[in-house]
Amino acid sequence: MVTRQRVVSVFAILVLALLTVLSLQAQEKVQLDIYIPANELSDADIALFEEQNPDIDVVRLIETLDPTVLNSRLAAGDTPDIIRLSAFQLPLFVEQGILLDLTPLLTTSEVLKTDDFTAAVDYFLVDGVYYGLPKDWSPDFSLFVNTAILEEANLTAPSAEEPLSYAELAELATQLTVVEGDRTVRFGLMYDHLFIERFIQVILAEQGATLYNEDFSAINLVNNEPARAALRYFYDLAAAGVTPSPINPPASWPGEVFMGGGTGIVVYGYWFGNMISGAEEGSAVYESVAMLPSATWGGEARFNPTWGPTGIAIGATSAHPEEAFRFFEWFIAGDLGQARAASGWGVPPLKSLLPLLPRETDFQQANFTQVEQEMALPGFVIPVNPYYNAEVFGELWWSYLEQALRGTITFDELVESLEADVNATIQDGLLNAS
Amino acid sequence: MLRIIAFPNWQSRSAREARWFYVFVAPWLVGFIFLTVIPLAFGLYLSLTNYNGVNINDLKFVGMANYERAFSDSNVLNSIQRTLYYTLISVPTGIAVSLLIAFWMTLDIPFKGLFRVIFYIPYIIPLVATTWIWKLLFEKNFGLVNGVVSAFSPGTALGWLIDYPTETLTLLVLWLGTGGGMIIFIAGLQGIPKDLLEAARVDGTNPWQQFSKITLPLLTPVLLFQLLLGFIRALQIMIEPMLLSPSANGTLGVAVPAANRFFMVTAYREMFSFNRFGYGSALIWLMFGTSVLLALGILWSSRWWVFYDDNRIFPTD
Repeated sequence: MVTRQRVVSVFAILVLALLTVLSLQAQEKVQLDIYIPANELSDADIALFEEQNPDIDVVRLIETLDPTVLNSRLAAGDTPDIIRLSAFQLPLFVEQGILLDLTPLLTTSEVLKTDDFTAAVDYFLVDGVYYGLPKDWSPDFSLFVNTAILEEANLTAPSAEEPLSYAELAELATQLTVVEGDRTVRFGLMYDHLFIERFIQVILAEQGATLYNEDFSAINLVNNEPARAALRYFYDLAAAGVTPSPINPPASWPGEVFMGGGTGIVVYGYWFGNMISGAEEGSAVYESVAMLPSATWGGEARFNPTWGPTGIAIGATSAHPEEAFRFFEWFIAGDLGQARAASGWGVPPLKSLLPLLPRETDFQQANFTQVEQEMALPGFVIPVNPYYNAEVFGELWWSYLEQALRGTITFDELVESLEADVNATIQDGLLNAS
Repeated sequence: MLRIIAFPNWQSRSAREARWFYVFVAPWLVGFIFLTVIPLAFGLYLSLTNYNGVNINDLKFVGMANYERAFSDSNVLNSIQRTLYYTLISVPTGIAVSLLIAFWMTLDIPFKGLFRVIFYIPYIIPLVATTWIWKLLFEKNFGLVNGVVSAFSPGTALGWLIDYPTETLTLLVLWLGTGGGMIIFIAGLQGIPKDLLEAARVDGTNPWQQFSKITLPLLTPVLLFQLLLGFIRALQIMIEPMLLSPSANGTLGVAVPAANRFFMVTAYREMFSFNRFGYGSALIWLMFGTSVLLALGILWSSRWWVFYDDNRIFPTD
């Protein structure tokens, strides 16, 4: 006879068994701690990945970029399984042994093939070892010209095939500059001064020269004539008011100023085209922008590399490197990697994903053609000095430029001070190196 | 003898009270130890190392080198000079303006409540929003202030944020802080016994004599408080000059004009631009030491100028 007690007992046993099975299943799941912000890895992305990989639980450590979280985890010896980092951070992280050598995993990967890599991937290659991959990149020295402003100044748009020389660029930018009394109504040219070290390195590379000595233990400016000439070029543009300067700063970052018609030309990468595509009818850049090849100083070759891409790597102490690499593959080449390529916010790291770049409008098609054209140039990785962050150069340059433009120091003193301060920073980095 | 070494009576009233005291303060005490004392001690330790933000497992002890470096670093020495200049301008101005407005707000004037609210509003608006508005107002080429100026003198574009950065910053801080200072001074002014002022009036004193002989002396405890806070805030100023810098979008510390690179801005740059976290920690500890010494100095000096209405010069006398 089936008593109520027996029914309850059987039910309790079934519930217990179910809970045991569920808990065992949960135990089998692997948890990956991932340092990527939500705008690059949304909750929906995580759900999709977990659906495709039921044995993995993804825990996103941050909503927005927060270096404090990463620094705290590193300080506690609890390195995240996946780390988002820039090419500038890479040497320091590699030197500290924070990142996993991906080379063995890449040799057996069915998804990521080294012969499919674009040149930008080499930013994550140190002494023949791959430590990560860029999520995307752009030929960052491309010029974006406001053709409406050119027409207003009775100037014809430069060729989309033939690059301008830096001298021609300065001349064009000067013609586009509009000043009324003390007020700059429109700058001729804007670039991100924080990355001026990248510009100098590319200009020197075109001439077969270098900015640092071979082991990166010192920067050479004072006795490096090509470097002095390049710095002088940017100094003269700032002094003439053609580009913003510390004594005549822009109202905002170069992209926003360009979008508002506050500068005729801006130097940015392919990604910036996506921002222009979103401009509304009637705005200063609506259907009046052309993406052009990078300017050239003249020399052995022209380069249009990325300043330094941002990508992802796997923590060397990850308890689940295989699962982490599965996420890594998915993020770079899987659904998320493909969606990122199709969004047009950057050039994918894999050649096979290039056809996904948007080409619906004439502007997008022209930009795609520009990317193909610039990718045909010799691949060049701008050296990253492992002993200091290149942005420090830009920061120091801006500080001394203020003094030089105010007349408290000469241009020569600017160069000397810049060299001395950068070398002091490099020396600190050298002392810290293990 | 046996009574002396015997365990205290745990059941006694005082022991019970002591136990409950520790039970109640324990959550705060635990938080204080783990979230304040230990991080501070760790920060002090880092200031004696070559910490660069990532080499925590490979730290080298450098002794007092970071502290010695600070005294020969021209950037730091210049920043000290600028910080003192800013402090000496902003603190007395801030106190004087707050006191003046507070005095005005205690008079019988129409819409007094409305004015108090208006003066207090900047104090409660988030700093980032306020600074952003000021940047838009004082921007050189497209700012509203220069727009008004150029209406009278076409083509004029004053570089408020770059040619007069410290003055513009002082104005901003004054605008932001006046409301808070005003409220405290109003409270102080309202605490002054009216019978004293009435008696002085009956004795034939003029308003200035009433202010200088009665109001001001009785307000000195509030002045001491304002002075202490003002000096500490001024010495540690960092966020405002960074946010007010031209084109600081996303690149804090980069575009701060030379005149506004105060001590804490320099410490921030050393840590977050140059990755000299050990050195930056040393700078912060130097600032902490200076602030403590200054606060003690002000408190010590107060025995000669702070007056309490019960005829005690010092509250503990």
